[in-house]
Amino acid sequence: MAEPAKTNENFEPRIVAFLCHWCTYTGADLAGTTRQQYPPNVRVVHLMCSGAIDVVYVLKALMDGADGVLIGGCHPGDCHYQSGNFKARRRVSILNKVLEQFGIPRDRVWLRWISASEGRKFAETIREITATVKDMGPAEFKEQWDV
Amino acid sequence: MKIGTLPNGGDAIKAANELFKGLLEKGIVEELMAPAVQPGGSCSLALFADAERLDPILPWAPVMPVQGGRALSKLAFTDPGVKTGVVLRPCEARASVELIKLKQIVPDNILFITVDCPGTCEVAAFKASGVDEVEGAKTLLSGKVPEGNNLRTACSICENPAAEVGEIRIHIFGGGDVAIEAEDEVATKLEEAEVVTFSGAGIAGRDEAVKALKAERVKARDELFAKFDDETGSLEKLKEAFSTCIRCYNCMENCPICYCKVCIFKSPTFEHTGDKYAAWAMRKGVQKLPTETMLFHMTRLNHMSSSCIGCGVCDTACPMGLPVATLFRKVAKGVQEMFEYQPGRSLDDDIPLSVFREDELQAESGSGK
Repeated sequence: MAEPAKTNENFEPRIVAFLCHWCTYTGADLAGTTRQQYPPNVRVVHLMCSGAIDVVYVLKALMDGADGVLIGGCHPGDCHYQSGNFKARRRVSILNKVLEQFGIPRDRVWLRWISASEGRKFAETIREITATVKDMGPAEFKEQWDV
Repeated sequence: MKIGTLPNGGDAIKAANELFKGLLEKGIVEELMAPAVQPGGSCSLALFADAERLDPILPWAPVMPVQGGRALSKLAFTDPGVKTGVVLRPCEARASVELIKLKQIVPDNILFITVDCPGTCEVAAFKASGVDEVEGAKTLLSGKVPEGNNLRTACSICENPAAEVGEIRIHIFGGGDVAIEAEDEVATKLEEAEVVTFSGAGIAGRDEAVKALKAERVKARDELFAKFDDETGSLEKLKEAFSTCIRCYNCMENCPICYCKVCIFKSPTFEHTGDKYAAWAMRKGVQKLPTETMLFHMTRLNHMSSSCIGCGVCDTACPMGLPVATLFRKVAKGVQEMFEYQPGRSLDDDIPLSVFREDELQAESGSGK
């Protein structure tokens, strides 16, 4: 099997985006309806709340094909369920400590607050994460058979 | 808190056991959970209801096959209905505090008795060494390690070996005396029942001794963490260190903090269909079985490290001798420092994953980056 492609033009990263129903998913919709351009590298998983995310799904994505993960939630204070986004933030902060111990750079997992009216910000964020992850190359785990 | 010394004649085990006998005889408690020597050798926990049958109790058992906090979460998952004393090491008491917060222990009828802990040996190694259990306990109490044994890794880096939580605390550090410290209400009860008297004087040198022991352990801990980082500092090296994991779940099954009745790894989420395995093999060319060993450890780290009390039963439970406790304690230290959280210290400190502050962790969401 060929060595996984390192940083190069031909590497197209896969981004898995876990988006909350009330803000970021709707923001992504707005990006579409207002014809914002962003790279097609992102696959969206629709959640009711960023607070519904368990890190096991983020890790599973990174080990099973994703090169980057975006978790999108409502801005602080705007959570439809009051505090799901704050809880997601605590979980992501722990996740980053764990990833650090395993030698995985923290830029693989992005947590961003994008509201329903921020279609432009959604498109910008996807452009940004795609470019960053493209530079980083394929996820550390995903091509390894022994993890 | 009130403090006094127990009559002991140089025998801490005897002194503590006299106290336990008094507790049961005078009805302060109706049952008592404590480490005990089994008739066939080796130690376990046992629940004593007969004051005449307390001989097997060995509060400083040289091994900890089962974490007392976890055992208590079975015993008192629902209220036992009778006043129950539990004799715990500091790490077991800390686990119990976490489990009360996680609603796995109903504490209403529990009287917590915590002992200063000189540490324990690995169960299998201790059995193989052939040392008598009581002799082993005495050796540990004297500050030495029984022949043919080592202190468990988790014990050798334990910064909190002193009895610091619990209604009754038994002190041994700092001298030949055995002291008892009790919360005022419990102390009054004990005095009224003439179980013990509180003179107001404990072990003179204890504070100094505890301080010195803590410093020694912190040093050992930092050295071990530095060595661990050298040996496992990259993904490749860490993978190598954990390559013999068979995903038996023993670390999780024995961890007092892993309280979920059904772990996600034992749920249908991880009962993959055959086509999934085929897809992994096709995509990568090769796929190790069992799959997701690293994912298991990483997920468990995420779920429980904020409450990891550092007892190291994961090490004891691992059939492959993986450095589970070292990895978990290393990550837990970073996580707990981030939230300024000390698991097991107090029922008043909220578990980090159950609360949040609006103005914290701004960098996590890309602000200020």
